Amino acid sequence: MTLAVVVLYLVAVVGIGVAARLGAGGAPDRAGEGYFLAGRSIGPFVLLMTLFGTNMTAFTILGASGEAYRQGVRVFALMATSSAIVIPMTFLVIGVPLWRLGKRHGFATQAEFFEARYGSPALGVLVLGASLLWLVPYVLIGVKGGGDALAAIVDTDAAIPPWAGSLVMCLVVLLYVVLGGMRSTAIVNTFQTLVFIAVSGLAFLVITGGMGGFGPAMARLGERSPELLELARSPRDWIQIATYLFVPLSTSCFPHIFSHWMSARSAEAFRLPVLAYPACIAAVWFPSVVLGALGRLDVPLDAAGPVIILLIREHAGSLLAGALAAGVFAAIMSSLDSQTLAVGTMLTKNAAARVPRFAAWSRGRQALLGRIFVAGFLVLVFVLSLVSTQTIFSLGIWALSGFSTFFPVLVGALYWKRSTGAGAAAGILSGLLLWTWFFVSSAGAPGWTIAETGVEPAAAIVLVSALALVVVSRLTAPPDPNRLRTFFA
Amino acid sequence: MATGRSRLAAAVAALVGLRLLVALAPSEPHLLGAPFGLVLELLVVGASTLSLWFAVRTLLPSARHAPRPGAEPER
Repeated sequence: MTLAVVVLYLVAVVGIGVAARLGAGGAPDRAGEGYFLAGRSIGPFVLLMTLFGTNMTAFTILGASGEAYRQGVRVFALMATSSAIVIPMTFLVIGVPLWRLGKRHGFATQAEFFEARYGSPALGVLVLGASLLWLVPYVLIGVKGGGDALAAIVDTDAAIPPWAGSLVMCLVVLLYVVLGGMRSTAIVNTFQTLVFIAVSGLAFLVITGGMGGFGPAMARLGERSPELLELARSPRDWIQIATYLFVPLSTSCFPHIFSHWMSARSAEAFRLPVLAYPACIAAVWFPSVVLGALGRLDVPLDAAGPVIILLIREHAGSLLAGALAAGVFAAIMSSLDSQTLAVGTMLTKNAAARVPRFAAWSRGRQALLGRIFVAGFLVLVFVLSLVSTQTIFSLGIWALSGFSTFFPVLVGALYWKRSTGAGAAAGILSGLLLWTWFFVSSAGAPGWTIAETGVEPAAAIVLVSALALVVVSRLTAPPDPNRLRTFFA
Repeated sequence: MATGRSRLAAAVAALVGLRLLVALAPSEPHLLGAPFGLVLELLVVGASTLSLWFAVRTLLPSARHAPRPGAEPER
């Protein structure tokens, strides 16, 4: 039954992806931006669903509940509240101005924006290289995680190997991303996001019902493990919650989020995503964190497997287990498709376009090249998922902090006329160096904080990157006024 | 607009301050079955929406005002 629900879900995903492509068959492709940016035509609701879905990964459903099992409800304070405050604000403060500039200048990627803003092709190459460095392992943990999750969820008599789940996920994404590009990705993301919001709510109702109700279960947890209901048990905890506000800043720096911003129909289309994002965060994170913490009532500390899966096995049937597996797949694929398309866009627009032969290609042939890059990237990621080492997975977990390096540089490019290309490069390189140092010092361990103080690495990376941007910009010649006029008109 | 942006900056600063204060909240008493601190966290998420509504009014003024005569429509 579990497997049947998953198969049904995957068929629906492919069907919706194909239908989105066929539905757009006659739509005008203004400026040839159809494949990469859906012709910059995405409306408010789809933009909300696709931005939210892209940011939710398997960690939100499986990892967050596992963390809550260990740390309690403070996981909500750490990750959910910080995201609800920071991420939608960055949509407004970074996303809308970037959308305006992207529409005016025809940008599809961050590298194009930085290159044009500072007149520095080298900066474009630096942004492309750093983005790929962090994005590839980040995608990899999703692909591997999906296979592992499916293997853990399905019934033992129908067990499938982890690689098979990863393969199926890659094939499904390959099909609709290659076929329909951004339009199919956005429509499928909408469906996937609705699925995992619904699954989160359903799992919460069924499991808490099986535990005798939400209130009584929380009361029992309070009696047995009161520390799991506290937000900050020590000054270190409080410092970690405070500095965790820097972590979601990296969201505004993801290449796939940039692509989704560029696909918006208008600045007005950002209104709903900005206003509804906190509610979406609460709708998914609250059930995940609470169920993880409540897992301590039923799941022994030495139990093997994700806590939420074990809870579903105990309190629900295989139908809900199948729905959960579909939800996990939805969370992973709604990120994987956007990330893959962003890589295809970057390689087409920022790498191949530097080769004169490819740069002269028509928009249609560039879209074909993008499709080839998408397919090649998925094959590469799947192969890597079979042979990857623990170091690569650690790199993926740490990739989030790495992207926060771009944040001060993005803010400088949008709001500070005196910022220079050399300053931007210094900001990115200093952040990259500091990130590398932290990664090596921590041996890639997740949850590591600077010198055990509770200070999140992202906080230091953002501050050092901002300092380098300001100092080097001040020490170098002011930017060309003519170039500034095209960006600050 | 400058006043609007100052107010917005003040609203965001207040929200961050609230977020830091709430992190110190105790777990008791339970409200609607949930620990006190967690309920306050949900309220911070709600306050975030309020602050975003204010931010949208300030930074996306085209939602409230018709474009100037002769101005290029933003589409």
